[in-house]
Amino acid sequence: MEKLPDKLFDLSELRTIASGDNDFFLHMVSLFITQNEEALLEIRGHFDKREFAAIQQILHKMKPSIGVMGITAATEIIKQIEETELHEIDESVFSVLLLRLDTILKEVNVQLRLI
Amino acid sequence: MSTWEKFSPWSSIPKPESMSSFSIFIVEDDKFYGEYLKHYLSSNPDYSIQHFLTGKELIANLHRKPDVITLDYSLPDMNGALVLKKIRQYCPDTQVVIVSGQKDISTALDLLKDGAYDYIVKEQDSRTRLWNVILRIRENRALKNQVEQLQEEVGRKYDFEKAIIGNSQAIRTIYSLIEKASKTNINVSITGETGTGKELVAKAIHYNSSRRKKPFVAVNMSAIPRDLLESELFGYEKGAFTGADTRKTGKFEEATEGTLFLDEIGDMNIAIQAKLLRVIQERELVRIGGKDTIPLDLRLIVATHRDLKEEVSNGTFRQDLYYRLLGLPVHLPPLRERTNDILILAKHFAEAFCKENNLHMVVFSSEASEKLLRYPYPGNIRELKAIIDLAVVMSNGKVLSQEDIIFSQSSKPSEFLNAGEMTLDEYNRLIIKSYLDKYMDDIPLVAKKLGIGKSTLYRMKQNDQI
Repeated sequence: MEKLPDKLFDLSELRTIASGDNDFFLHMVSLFITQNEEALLEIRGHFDKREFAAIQQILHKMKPSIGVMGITAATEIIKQIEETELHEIDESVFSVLLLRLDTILKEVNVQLRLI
Repeated sequence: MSTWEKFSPWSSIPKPESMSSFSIFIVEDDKFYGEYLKHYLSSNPDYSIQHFLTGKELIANLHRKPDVITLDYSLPDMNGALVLKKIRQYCPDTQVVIVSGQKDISTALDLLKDGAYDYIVKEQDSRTRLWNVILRIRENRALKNQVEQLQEEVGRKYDFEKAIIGNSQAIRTIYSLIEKASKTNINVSITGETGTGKELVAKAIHYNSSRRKKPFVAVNMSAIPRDLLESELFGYEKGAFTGADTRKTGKFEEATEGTLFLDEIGDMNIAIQAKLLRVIQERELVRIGGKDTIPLDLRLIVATHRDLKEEVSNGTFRQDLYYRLLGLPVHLPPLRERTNDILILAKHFAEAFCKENNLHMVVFSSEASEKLLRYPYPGNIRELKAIIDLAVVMSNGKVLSQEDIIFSQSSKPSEFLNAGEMTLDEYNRLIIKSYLDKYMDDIPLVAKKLGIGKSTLYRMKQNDQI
């Protein structure tokens, strides 16, 4: 498995929006962690049933908040998955991408919990 | 630094203090993203923001009529297009900004056609773009409110009892006619000498009618060259004639849903009269060089200083057009027939002039009042206003003396003839009055100039005939 990037996320946008409101900042971090975990669970469920369209929809929904959190590596993977035509999906490639995404986002959650 | 100054991309521009509280609903099923937008927009203390996660929650709250709704196109319970439709139905004044992850142009275009104000894709700079769009909506709303306020003010200005000053029976009759005219769409024909306030009456009717928020278009028929009158009134298509480089809408179309005021209608040549008659009868027109008929919805008010019945007898005005235009006739009497109103008007003009020019209020000496009452005012109210404005300027104190009242130096016999038909006796008195004014009431001199006896003049003065 490819090594994870050194810097998995960038919270500068969130800090800017929080504008010194630490309670808000921590609330948003916590919210992201929860949403992230729920989404990854859903994705796994859909993957088991080979429901690739549903996976694309979930990832499409996650993209904006992942963008806010500056998780560039994840954004790139989601873009690749979204751009894959459903009738052209190579399950093995798809599976590798999802696994990579899963790893990145889980590690993000681990590191975010330390904040 | 305030949060407004910190976050506003336009922080160099002063915050619009005149804008009141602004309500925004955010509809976003991604809780994180919704709260992110909410917190960002909340940095403006004038914004009151609420976040909804579903279309149904939003619809249940539409009765609160927010100013703006930011709407995610992909909601879990309802299609964004359907939500937009509901918003347009229940809150037509609410602006909707679609904030979506989809970059599909055709979807964006469809939503804009269905009434969305803007479409923003959720990308890196989307929060700034949303901020700017909301600011623009807010400014447009403030401008719209200002326009409505100004329209209301214009309406108040043309509150006819304040705009048309007077206490005479003639004026009271005019108030009554204006009120009747403004309640319906009937054509109005206004007659009266120059300077009697025909346009003022036309505006009073318009701004007190249901059409007051729509255009008031005035055309002075005598000021437009004959060759251009038809194109000015009815418009033309591109290429209709040499020089017609673009399409031009005419005054009739400009006045759509409003009022068209045709001043000096008696000066219209007979050829255009035929076309005008057809347009008024059919309530539609075809631009010069055009093929399409354009339906008309306007009220027509015409005015003239001429006697149109006489013009009809002379063959210079069409009888059928005359009767079409007649509608509700309003005749404005010349000022010399409303002597009761001369001093009321004079006082009004003096007060208005002093207020406009930050001067102390003035009052009229009894001699000045007398002098004002004696003059025939061939130029009617317009002339009286000019006399009073000049008198205020020329006065040395707070009291206007008779020396401050200066009538036109170029009073010629022709001006009296233009003042309308009078008896020979009335003409004589007018001439004598003008000479007395010119020569500062020097009776012996005036008697000599006019070739009449001094005793005649003294007797006329004693009997209040001059």
